[in-house]
This record gives sequence, structure tokens and C-alpha cells, in this order.
Amino acid sequence: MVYNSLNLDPNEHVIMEVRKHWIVFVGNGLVTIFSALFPMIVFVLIKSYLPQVYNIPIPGNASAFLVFVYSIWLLFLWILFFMEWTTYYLDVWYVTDKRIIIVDQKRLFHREISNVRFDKIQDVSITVPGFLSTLLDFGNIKVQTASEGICEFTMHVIRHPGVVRQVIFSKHNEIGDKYIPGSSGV
Amino acid sequence: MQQPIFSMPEFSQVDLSVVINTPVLTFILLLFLLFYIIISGILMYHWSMYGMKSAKVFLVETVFLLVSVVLFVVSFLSLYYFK
Repeated sequence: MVYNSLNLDPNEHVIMEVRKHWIVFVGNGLVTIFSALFPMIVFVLIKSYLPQVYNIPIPGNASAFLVFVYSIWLLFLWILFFMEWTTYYLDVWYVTDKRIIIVDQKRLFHREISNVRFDKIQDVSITVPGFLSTLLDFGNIKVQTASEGICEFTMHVIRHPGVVRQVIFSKHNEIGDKYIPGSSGV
Repeated sequence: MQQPIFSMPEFSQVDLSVVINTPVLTFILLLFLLFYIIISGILMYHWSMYGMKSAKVFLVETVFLLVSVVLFVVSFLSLYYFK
């Protein structure tokens, strides 16, 4: 992995990448699969209920025409699927050993980037809201900071929220210890 | 004798050769190819700029391009056999 676009400090390293759980993307996948099968379903329904439509004389090779239309439709769905995947994949939190870089990819052309330094963090809370989220280990995370009033950064449906919270807290404590006189960090 | 309320039109008389012919389909395919080039260019820009050169992004890029090529070949071939 090359993190050039994050503009890290020379001795800064990315410890963890926090992304949304794959369950978020299942809905998109199912919609794409259904949309891919939809023309076939329509085809069968027309054959059953409106057989007169098959009497329409299609000029040229009718089978080739249907394959042409269907391949264009599949290409269109293919592009849409990857546009959605890109938005999903680029929505990420990079936890480095100094800060959290929050990349909020709202749409393909809407991207917001924020930095949260560990010494500014006041609280990190997680929510695992139900049976499925407990089973598949996903949940929501909220980081609260104290810089210029209270700011909140939230990411929903992340993978392994407990581990993420633990990593952020351990880094937060590590940096916090350095500022306590007489502690081992000074 | 009572007339039916609704009856299906006779489709065998419809002439589609004005809208379904090789030049029109070729135009549609080229237009779609242009659309594909623009969108895939945007996607690849995002993947190369923000994908951090990860193996997963490389794999996704490869699958995206390979399947696209296959689908374009199918659409060009079907256009060829349509004639």
C-alpha cells in the first residue's frame, strides 16, 4: 500500500484502515443481480401472458438483436455497480500512529477529508445495535473531539467496531501519557 | 353481438425497420462506448488517486476491464450477426 495522497508526516505510519462492513454492499449486489435478471423475467412473462408481442416482425436477426440489447444493459449495470463499489471502498478512516484521517466519500464526486489528532479526542463510543450486527461483528463508531467546540465523527456499519475502538483508545492513551508529568511516557 | 371491451392490437403489422437497423444500432453502441470510456476513466482516476495502490483495487480494476471487454465483444458480435 502506498499512502502518498494522505500527506503523512515522514515518520507517520498507517496502523489500520476502517471500512464499512460488506453487508452494506449486499443490497447493491442484490439489486444488480435482480436488474440483470429482470429482462429475462419480463421475457418469460410476455411469453406467458402477451404472446401476441412475439408476432412483431423484428428486421434482421431477432436473436442477435436481443443479445445486443441485453449486453448493453449488462454493461450499463456493470458500470453502475462499480460506481457504487468505488463510493463504498473509498469511504474509509485511516488510523495512523498520530491521528485519524477521516475520508468521507459521500458520492463519486463528493469527498470530505478531516483529521483528528489523538490528543484532541474526548470519547470514542461504539454501538452494536442488534442480533445480526453482533453475529457478523459490525456496528457504529462515534469519535468526539474537543477542538473548537465539540465535534463528532461517525461511521456507520463498520467492521470489528470493538477492535477499532481499542486501537484508537490505546493510541489516545499512549499520546495522553506523554503529557502527564512523572508518567513513564515523559 | 357485443364488442369486447379491450382487444390486443395486431402486432404483425408494426414496422420496426425504421428504428431497428444496423446504422441506428451501430450509433447506439458507439454512443454507449463513449459513455463507458468517460465513466471508466473517472473510476480509474479514483482508483489510482485514492486506492493507495492496493492489491484489492488492482484486482477489481482487472475484473472490471475484463468483463467489460467480454460484454463489448458480445455486443459487437451480435451487431455483426444482426445484419
